[in-house]
Amino acid sequence: MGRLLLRFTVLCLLGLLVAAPFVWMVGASFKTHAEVERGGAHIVPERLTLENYPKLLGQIPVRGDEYLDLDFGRWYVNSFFIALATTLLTVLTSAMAAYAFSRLRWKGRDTVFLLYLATMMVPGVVTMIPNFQIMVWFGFVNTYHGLIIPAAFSAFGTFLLRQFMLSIPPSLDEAARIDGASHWRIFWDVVMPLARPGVIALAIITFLAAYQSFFWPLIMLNDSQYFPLSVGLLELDTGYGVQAELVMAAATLTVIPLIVIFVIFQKFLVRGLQLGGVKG
Amino acid sequence: MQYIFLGILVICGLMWAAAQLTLEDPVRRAVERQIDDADRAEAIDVDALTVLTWSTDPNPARRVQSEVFLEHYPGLAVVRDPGDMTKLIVRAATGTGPDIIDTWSAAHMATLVEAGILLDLTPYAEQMGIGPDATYPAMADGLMYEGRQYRFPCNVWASTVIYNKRLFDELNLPYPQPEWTYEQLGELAVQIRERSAAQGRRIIPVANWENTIFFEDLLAGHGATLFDADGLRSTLDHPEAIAALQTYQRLMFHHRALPPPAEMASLASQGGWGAGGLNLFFSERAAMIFIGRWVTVMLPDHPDLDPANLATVTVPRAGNRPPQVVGRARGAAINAASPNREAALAFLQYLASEEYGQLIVNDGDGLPPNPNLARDGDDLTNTLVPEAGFHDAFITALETSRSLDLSPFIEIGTTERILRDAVEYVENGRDPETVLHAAADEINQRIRQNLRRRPDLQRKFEQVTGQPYTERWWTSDRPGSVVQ
Amino acid sequence: MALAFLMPNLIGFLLFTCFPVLLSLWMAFTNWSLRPIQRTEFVGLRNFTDLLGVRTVEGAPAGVGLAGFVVPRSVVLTLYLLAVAVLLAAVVGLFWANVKLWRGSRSGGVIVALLGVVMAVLAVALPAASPDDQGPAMLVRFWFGPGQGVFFSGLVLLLAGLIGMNREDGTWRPGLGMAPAGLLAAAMATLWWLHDPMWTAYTPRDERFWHYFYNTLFLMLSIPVAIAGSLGLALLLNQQLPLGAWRSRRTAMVRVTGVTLCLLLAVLTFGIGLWQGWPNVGLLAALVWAIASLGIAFNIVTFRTIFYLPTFTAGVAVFILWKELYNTEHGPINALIVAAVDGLAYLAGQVGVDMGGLDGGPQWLAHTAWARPAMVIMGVWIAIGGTTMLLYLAALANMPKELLDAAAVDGAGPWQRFRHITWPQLAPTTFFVSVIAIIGGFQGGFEQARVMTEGGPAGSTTTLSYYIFQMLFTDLNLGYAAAVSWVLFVMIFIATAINWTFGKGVEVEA
Repeated sequence: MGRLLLRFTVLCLLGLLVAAPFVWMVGASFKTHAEVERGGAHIVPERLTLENYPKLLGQIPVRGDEYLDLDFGRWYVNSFFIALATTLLTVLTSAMAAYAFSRLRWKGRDTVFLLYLATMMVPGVVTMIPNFQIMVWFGFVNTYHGLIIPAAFSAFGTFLLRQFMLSIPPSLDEAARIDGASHWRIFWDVVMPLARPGVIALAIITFLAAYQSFFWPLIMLNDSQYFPLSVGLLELDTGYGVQAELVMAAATLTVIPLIVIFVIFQKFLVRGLQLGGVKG
Repeated sequence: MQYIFLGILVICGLMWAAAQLTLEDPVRRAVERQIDDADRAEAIDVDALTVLTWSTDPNPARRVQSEVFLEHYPGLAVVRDPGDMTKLIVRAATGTGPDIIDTWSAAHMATLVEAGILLDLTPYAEQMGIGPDATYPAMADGLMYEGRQYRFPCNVWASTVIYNKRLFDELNLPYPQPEWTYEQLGELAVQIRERSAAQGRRIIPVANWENTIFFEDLLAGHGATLFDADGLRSTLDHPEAIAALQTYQRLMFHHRALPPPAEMASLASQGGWGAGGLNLFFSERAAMIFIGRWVTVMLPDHPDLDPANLATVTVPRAGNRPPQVVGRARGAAINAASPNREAALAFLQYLASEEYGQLIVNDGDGLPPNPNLARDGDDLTNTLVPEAGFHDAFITALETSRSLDLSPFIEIGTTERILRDAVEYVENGRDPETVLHAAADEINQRIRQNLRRRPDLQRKFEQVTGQPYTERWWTSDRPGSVVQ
Repeated sequence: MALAFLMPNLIGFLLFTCFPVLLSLWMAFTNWSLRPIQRTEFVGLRNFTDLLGVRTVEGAPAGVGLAGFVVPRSVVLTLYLLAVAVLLAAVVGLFWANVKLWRGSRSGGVIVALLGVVMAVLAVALPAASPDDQGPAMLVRFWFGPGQGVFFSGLVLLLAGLIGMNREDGTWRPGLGMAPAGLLAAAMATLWWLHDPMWTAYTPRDERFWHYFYNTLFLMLSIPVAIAGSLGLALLLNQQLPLGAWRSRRTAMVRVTGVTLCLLLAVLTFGIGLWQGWPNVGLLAALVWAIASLGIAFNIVTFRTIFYLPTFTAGVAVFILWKELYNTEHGPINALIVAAVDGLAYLAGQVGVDMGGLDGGPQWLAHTAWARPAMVIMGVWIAIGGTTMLLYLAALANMPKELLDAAAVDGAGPWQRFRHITWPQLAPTTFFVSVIAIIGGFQGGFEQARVMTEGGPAGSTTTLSYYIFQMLFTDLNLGYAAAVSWVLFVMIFIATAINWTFGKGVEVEA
């Protein structure tokens, strides 16, 4: 009982430490411009204002008769679409490649895997220009697939799932193979269910990375109708400094759907973890 | 498990279809957003428009500027192209990019020229009325790189002191007078600190909004340059430059006129470009700020600050030198790869026009590029600051300003980085003289390495000095040599 | 068959990853620049020598005093490079010796560790003892002076030594394992001895690279802390909290009552805080109640979500947030530090010791010496509950429970169970996590430099990835930037290789 109480208290306090800055962000989104400018670490606004959110959504003027002209709704949908599609493709291709690297024996397997690993070690900044050139050749500039397809072949994902699949006892799929199951069947019915925790972890990581990606969309897109949220929010910076309370409101709006998704997803995650545990 | 994947695939497909179906013609959209009058927007034939993309900031004023352009040049429309330097470089490296590119400084322009992105305007300038003589003479250098013109200003500015009369009255101190010196500024600052502390509050004498800009203005005021005449040697270790940085150090640590970084970090809150210092001034916690006229565009964001309390004075003198700062411009340049060159040139012509200049006068975004529109303060009065006297000093500052020299022998980015590091080292307690000697040394080494590595620079060396390039050229009795 | 599975990924990989990477490798050996005026040529290793090489100091004498003799400076250079090579070889040897369980590697480790401590102390003490430097200037001199390299190496040695000590079946007798440690010590001493003559005659060609390399390594200090913290959190959150006891037979009524009570308490605390003029304290207390009630209602799901929050929020908002937290005067971090030191000084005053006051807290982002630690702390906060925790949770869930149960039956304590069962079982995950973290660490620091500090003050938060960015987009030197990134690649590769060998060792042991 005492140990449980201790564990619970520690978790609550650590939770506070981690959550406090986030709460500060939400608090700042309810502060007036003057108060945010004055700075300070206090969370509770001295003068509560609810105007930042309607301002951000273009419902009430920012100043005088100027309205912010942001396509918030569309950017939301764009962000989700891009992130979802990227996640789907990444998980699929990575899982298949990981299967080849962990379950199949073929010549040069380790060499190719090492190549995969090695490319992860090259900083992404330098490959940006060649990559953009490829996009120009393919005519992918200013399209959705220009954002999705280059991100869908992840060496990281392959590495992660390979590690996971290696920890699954090979006896299970060997048994299936003796029963005459094809690799395709084994992949979907034996290995994938067992690798579910890894798949879910990779899905979350990929989704977050795609949802938050900024540099590549910024370079690829001209038409604001294709913007994901991360790039669209740049429009808040008018060149003469940003209004931080609006940025905070926007950041809050950006994060909230992620939390909702995570909370829903969490159930699957936990179940996936437990299933993996039982069978492994 | 397959079915989950299939399900997500279907969802993705549906989302994609929905997104594609709701896409609007971007030009139509841009035109509608630029023109408030829906009927008039409807009447414009979008297909017949020549569309120019304009890489600039998302300032709401750009919308009005684009609208007036469309009005005066029917058949041409500008659409804003969001993005930054990185995007420009990546796109330009692959031969794409916007038609019109805003440059923030002479250095920014020079970098883009070096990258081969900008169109040489010199052949067109004269006949189209967008040559250097169409704007302030002091600005001319800032439009040119190695004798060729590459941009035309959208708005121009030079640092001027804006002070808060109410704060001076409350502290019972005299307003700063023209012809004052940095030493007097320092003494005034000490007074401001003491008297405000006696009243139980803290008033910062000078809001420090961008330390390198302040230092560059000090360099100009002290008559210092960055390079010698040939651009082959850094002159940051010359007495003028050292004096400038020493003034900076004295203002910051001796007189505490500029808040030292620790104090600044505690006062300023978040924001974009120099927003911390700007906020200090606008929230009436700083008595003065060294800045251009463009800062008045922010007045509507601060309804508590009465513009009648604001007044201006030229920057202090350094010793007996006349007051001088660096003249700066945000200027539009044209992408050399643009298929719409004629239309883009028309846009530059529009920048020199009276209609455009009047827009700048009214929205307070710096000074119009055309000097005839700002002969004196009366020309510049607007609804933001109706008082003519306020605007006078900005014109004087610009007319007496000069541009900061660049060297073709060293990357502009490197120079800026070294300069910024030097200022920050002094802010962290290092001695200005050692810091600048080290900075000059680093620049010189870099120039020598660049010359060794690049035949094109060696040819330039021979052009500039009229002497053949040799290894260890700096040891001989030549321009830029150590012997000098 | 394998090809069919690999194909989808491989095609994209070759196209969007391999091709650009190979192109950048070629770039590293050219003078490729974005200036059209410059003709692109193959320049061999020139970019690399410009980056890593040294040049002679202008006007330095040709002869250097060394051990009482005047020797040509090229001799010093040769000796120095030799010592560096021996040092690198010794480091590799030390790891190897540890993996191979060579006899004596443990005692070697202890000796090296002691040496590291001595050197670290010297590095701190020598600059501090010099009379001409006082106050913060001394601090600056310490970080930027020659001492820091030694301090850092000492720290690495200490770690290496500790690892050597950790061998349970190693012996204390000196053996072959001593050789790498001895070589390491000899190399360190030689470098220490050659430091002054070397660097008066020579200077690095690209000093910025070394400065930024140091910054990058410094920011990577957050990695071990974050990994250990994530593992701790994962262990705490691995299993449902047995809250059943609190909810007595898990009746929904009691559960609802508990939550309502906690939430009521939250509202009440906040209300009292508002009324007392302490709204922020009230809010924080209220938050604890809210977390507690959510914890009772949803168990570990609550905590997992909360600890994952920083990963959600990542980006500009987090950086603005931390800028505010590091605020020197009214930021909460400094408020706490000042309060703590004042309290200590008060206590010291009570027993008659005058500690003196504290003139404000650290200057964090405003000071060249504090900006890096500030970045490290922020890095830990961002990384601790994130993906690493998630991966550990997944791995813990996959672990066979029977092993732990069997050990518990055998009477093993919690620590022993962790040390002998959980930890070895987690080895593949730890390996994966640290490989990713090291790769990320070497490539990291870019976003915060761009958003938070612009790499300042005076370049103290510029990391190598930000340097590459500057090289590319403000200096337009594609070839040189590619060279920096390939040097970075080699470092990451070596670090991963060491990790790999090590990881293998752990697995063998398990």
